[in-house]
Amino acid sequence: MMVSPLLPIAVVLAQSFLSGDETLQDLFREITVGRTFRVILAIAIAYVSLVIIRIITTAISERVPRRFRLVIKQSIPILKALVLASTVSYVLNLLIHLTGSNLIALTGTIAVALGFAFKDYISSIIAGIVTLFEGPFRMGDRVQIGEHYGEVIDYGLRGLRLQTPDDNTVTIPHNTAWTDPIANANSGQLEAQVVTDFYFAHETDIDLAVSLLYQAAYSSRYTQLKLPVMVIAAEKPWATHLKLKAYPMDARDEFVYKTDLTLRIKKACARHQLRYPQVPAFEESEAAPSGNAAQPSDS
Amino acid sequence: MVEKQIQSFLQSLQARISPHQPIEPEETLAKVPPGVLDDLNQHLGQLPVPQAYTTTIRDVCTEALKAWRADPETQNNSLVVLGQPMEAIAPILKASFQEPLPGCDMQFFLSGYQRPNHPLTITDHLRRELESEEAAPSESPSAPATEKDIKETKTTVMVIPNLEQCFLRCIQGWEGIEYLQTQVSHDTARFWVFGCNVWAWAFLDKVCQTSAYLEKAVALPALTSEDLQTWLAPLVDTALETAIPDCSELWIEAAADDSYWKTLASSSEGFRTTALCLWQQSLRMQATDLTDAGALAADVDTIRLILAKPSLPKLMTFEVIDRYLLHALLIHGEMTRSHLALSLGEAERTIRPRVQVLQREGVIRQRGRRLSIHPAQYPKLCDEMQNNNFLIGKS
Repeated sequence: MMVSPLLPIAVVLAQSFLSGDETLQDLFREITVGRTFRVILAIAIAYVSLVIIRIITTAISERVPRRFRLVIKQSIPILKALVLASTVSYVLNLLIHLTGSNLIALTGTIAVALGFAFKDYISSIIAGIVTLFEGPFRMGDRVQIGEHYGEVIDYGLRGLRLQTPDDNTVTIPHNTAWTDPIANANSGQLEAQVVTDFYFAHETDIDLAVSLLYQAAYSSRYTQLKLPVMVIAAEKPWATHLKLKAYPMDARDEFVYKTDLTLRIKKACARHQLRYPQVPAFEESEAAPSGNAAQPSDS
Repeated sequence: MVEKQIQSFLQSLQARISPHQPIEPEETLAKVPPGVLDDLNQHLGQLPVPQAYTTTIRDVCTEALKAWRADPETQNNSLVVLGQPMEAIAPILKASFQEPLPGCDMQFFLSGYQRPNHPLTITDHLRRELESEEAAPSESPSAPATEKDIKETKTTVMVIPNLEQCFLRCIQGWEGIEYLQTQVSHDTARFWVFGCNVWAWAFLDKVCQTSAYLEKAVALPALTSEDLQTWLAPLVDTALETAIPDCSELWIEAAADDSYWKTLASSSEGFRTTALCLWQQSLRMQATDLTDAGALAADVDTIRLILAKPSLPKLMTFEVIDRYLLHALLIHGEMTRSHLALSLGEAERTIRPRVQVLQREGVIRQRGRRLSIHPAQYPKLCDEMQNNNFLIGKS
């Protein structure tokens, strides 16, 4: 619909590309009822195929064992691209004589026409194609793009969709993902490192605290025991800051994993009467994440 | 090694492809009533430990002892016997060391030991148990110089068959294992034999580097079709006594050919308890010997059981929590519901419904207050756990 005002420009451009005997009548095939029907049918089949691919792959990936989930999800953009590419070629072949000179004329014309009308849209599509091959993230990855963090649950023509930890769905255009920094937590793997912060009073038995942190990670049901667990210590004016770095077996369990670690640590600290830092009220808002207990915080 | 694996694979393939011909067409056969199976269980309980197990354990232990005696300074003074989570290793070790190893004084500890209600007291229990023993010589034995030395030196072998009962996956839950590790590395005057399940071993190796202290480990061998046939031979083609009223005897007919045993060995992956379950589940009776309600007909004098093709039961579809629950059971072997809840970091009331469902579906079983994995489900469960990214126990 948006192309029609630009049609005269396209016609002029196309004619300038065409050699003497060739005219625009040769570029476009004759539009018949049968051909129109086939175009509509092709588009309808493509649409239905895309929907089916999305539904089936999502359903299968959520039912198969974990290790196959990401493999199936990662096939979605490729399958979608195949359907779109074959539909576009088929429709173009139905409507246009695809000779060499026609293609040159057509690409120039389309570039000008669409460049004006759908600049952002085309930019997103191209960014999507480039991203697909560059692979800074894949379906099922947990990524931070701009202010948004979540799991990549769909990879469309124009943008990708993230499912945030609050169960919101955020659509991000591919060109935004192209220009913004992307932090990928798991890069195609099932596991993603989870960092949980704890703060202890300076006079606390720090060896015991570190030992409890290690044991909390090893005893959590979510922990991927095949990957390393690490505790990093840092001094703050008001506390000793311990970072527990470990991997859950499934990156999706990130937040329940943190909860489990925190609860285990808090119970063990209570048993051993380990002291938490006493944060002065005026520092509370800027120095410590909150309160005066051993606190986890997102890192 | 590779040749053996290929041979075993081909055998299992052949067993799967070649159609096993049951003695009778399937439609004339029916499932055995539970009462008859209960009666049969009495006989199963009297089966000896397979010879492949005892021979392997004695051979490996003798070798390890010999190496340690020859060079106590550098050789490790321990051996770990690894079994599957549903396998009771204590009776196997007892049978293996019924006749003490030459020149050894075998001492069994904690044979029937079960985790105490409060898992943090495990270390105290172990300390009390081991320290009550006569103090061992503090120094390691000097390396024998003559043949006479070797014959006269008597070695104390400490056997602790249930390592998985000495810990719980919770904070400070494996201090008992660390205590045992220290004991073994300090007490170089004695040789230690431990029994442990492979899943617990894999876990302990990750959390307290157990294999650095207990270097030598041997897995119970996978039983071959011949091993299984020999092991179960006392029950087949023999008149067995029965306590069922009005029945004089129980008779299990021999399998038509070797393919039955090959299928049994490949389906069970050579695990004794799994094979036993599948064998039991493959038993059938003539439909004519049963009433319409599936009970034993009144005129049956001799109960004749026939072996049909053994197969693994289908695995149910699991919820996410189920896998964590099953993984905990695989690591701990047998455990109470309260220990299971503690290990998972959940309240007991939260896990109770799933435990009920898993029990109903036959994935886990309960003996007294203790839960464990059902042996028939074990091979498929291993695959399920591996496919879901869990640390699995490998022999």
